[in-house]
Amino acid sequence: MKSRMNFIFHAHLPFVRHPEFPKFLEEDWLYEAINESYLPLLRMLYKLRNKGTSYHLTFSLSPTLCSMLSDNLLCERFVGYINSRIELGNLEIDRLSNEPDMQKLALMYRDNAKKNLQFFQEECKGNILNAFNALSNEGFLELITTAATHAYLPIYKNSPLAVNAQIETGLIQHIRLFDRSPEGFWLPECGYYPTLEELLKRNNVKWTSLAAHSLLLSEDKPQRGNYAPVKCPNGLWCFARDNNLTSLVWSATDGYPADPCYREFYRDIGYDLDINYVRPFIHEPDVRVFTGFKYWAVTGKTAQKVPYSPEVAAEKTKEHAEDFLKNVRNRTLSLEASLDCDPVYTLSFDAELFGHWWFEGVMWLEHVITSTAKQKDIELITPSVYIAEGNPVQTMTPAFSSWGEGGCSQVWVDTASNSTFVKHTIKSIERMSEIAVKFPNQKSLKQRFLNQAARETLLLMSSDWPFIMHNHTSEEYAKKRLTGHIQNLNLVYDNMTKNAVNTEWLVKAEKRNNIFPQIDYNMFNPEHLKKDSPVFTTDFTSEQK
Amino acid sequence: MVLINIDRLSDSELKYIAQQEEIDSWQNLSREELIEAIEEIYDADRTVSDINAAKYVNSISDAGSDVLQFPGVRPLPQSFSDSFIHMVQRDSCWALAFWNIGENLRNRIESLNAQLVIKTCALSNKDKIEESYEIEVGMHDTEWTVEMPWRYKNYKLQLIARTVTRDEIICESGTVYCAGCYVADHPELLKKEDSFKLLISPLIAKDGSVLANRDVALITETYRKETLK
Repeated sequence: MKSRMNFIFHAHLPFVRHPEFPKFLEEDWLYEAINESYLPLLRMLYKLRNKGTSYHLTFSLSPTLCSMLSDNLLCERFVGYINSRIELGNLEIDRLSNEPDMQKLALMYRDNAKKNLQFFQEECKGNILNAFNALSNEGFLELITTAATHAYLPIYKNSPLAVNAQIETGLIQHIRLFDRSPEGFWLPECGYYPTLEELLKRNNVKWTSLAAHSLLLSEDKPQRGNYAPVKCPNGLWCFARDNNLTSLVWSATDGYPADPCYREFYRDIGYDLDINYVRPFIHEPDVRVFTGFKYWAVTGKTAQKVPYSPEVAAEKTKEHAEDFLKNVRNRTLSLEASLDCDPVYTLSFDAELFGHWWFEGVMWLEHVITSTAKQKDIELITPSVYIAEGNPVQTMTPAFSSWGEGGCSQVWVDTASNSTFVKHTIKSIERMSEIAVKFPNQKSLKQRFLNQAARETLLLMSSDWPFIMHNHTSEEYAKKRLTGHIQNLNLVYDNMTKNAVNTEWLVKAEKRNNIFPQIDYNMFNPEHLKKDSPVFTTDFTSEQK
Repeated sequence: MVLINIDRLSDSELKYIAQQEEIDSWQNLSREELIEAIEEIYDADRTVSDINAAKYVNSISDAGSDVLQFPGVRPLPQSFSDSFIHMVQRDSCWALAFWNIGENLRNRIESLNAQLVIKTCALSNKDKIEESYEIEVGMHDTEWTVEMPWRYKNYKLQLIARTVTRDEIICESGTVYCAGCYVADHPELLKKEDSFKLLISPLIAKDGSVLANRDVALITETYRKETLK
């Protein structure tokens, strides 16, 4: 039997863009992810391609992330961010002149930043999506999209217009940026409910990825467990995640990233060094943040850390890559008598785990790919390749599920933290639909006004803000974002009922929340669902991007 | 994503967090005292392993974001002018119910001294109420978590104003489906040798823990009982 690994990397960040501030702390989420995950991953994938190594991986690029990655202002700010890392690296190399081991690390970080900048400017031409697209065009990557603002869709089951708006807008954004319709669609937080497949198929989606328990809990009898995809009665293919193998990487306590020799994420000079020294690289007023310069190894559950050794960690990544493949093979061996086909292991991860959270994760993945390319009994596949092979498939309807804590909607419908906003969001969707019905097919200023209301409604539905509130992390910012989008929608609603347009608001809102330039608010009109999805008919190839 | 626990943070990080959280006398606290105080603030009811150290990073990121509002916007309304009730499913058997009663109707209900009731209704295939139960709620309540005790049923909620003489249905929610589960309903399936390999092994993590979901836990418990027979 052959082991088939279906790696899906989901790259997503919420839309954070504040042109009204010269520097905004939450925008750093994007710059850190680009510098520490996306560019290192792309550089590694380019390196393998240039060496002639064959691989097939799937990347889900969220529409909010794509919007930010192709935004001129944010790209300019990213270059400023990475130049400041290079500047900090130079300072660190000087500061550590009497500590050669530490200095070597400072040199490594500075050179990584330089290589990233060079790759960003030369290979990506200032837009990372170009590099993803190139690898996709050459058959190395399957690119897919997700809901427009990463809305957790099961909450909105009784608002099919809003769910459709999320799916349709995400797909149109992808087509606009990559000139092709994706076959797959990542469900935010793997959130699925029976009947969601109808809206996915309406928008020409061929496959999606689900949480690990989505098949076990089905009303139908699962035949092959998670070792083969299933097809919904309407023909949508579903690939359920393998919790056992992903936990080797993902587990907080026992996963590979927790190995004592790997780099400790939370020890950073942004927190450890004198405030006067790090001040130019943190945020005002003296808000300490991560700088990316980290010199200690995980070591153990103690404050006393040993210095980080990249050489030792690099050796460990080889060991862990081989261990992972050994686990895959052993699983396949154990399944030989039970399964009538080669097992497919769906291995979905947040892309930001690799490089950002787990510094050595990119190197680990490189070893997994390289080693797999040399084997005959194990291979990398993408869902579309699998589907095209015409393998036997069971037809069944998966169960309501997500990969969040508790396995369903508990994180996003939490009476202790975020349920108030669930109510306002659902009310806002109703109001958006109400004004879309009352004022269809508007032109000029009113059209812009209503389109901005549609943007605000989609941004309000993002899964990130309730998630943050549930976890008590950046709660204040999340609350302000949710409150702001609801207020904005209410403003349009109030104005339109008085047949007025607040132009001062409109200009400012369009400037800050400039996502989805192609949006059409009429998609919130119930008549819209009676027509064919514009995904089938929209041609953006001639549009200036 | 949880990679690291609070006890991996350095003393200076802990002190910094304590300062940010305005913990009394943070300068004089020992490492253990700092950890205890921070845990108390952040996560009184969660285990240490649940604590995502990222919060310590993100919790300081609120600075600079205090001027996000646009011109002309109004504060969020505490209530709405219309009456409605919604039902949002939380897991296989529980849903969040939330409602609003318009001001005029509210005044009338109060003048009648009516009791508000949430009626949870399980529906037949023809959308008739087959089973139901009621919860009395106060005029100031706006949400409740309701159980859906019968599987393979659609549910809807009714918000009712009850007086001595009659029930007035104020509004009804959309429906939510409480699904069944084939494997849970067929425990004999779990006696088969292949069941564990095919159905349960993909859900078990490296450390032996089963994916945290109530229905999955019930199935694995049944599996253990079946195989021990």
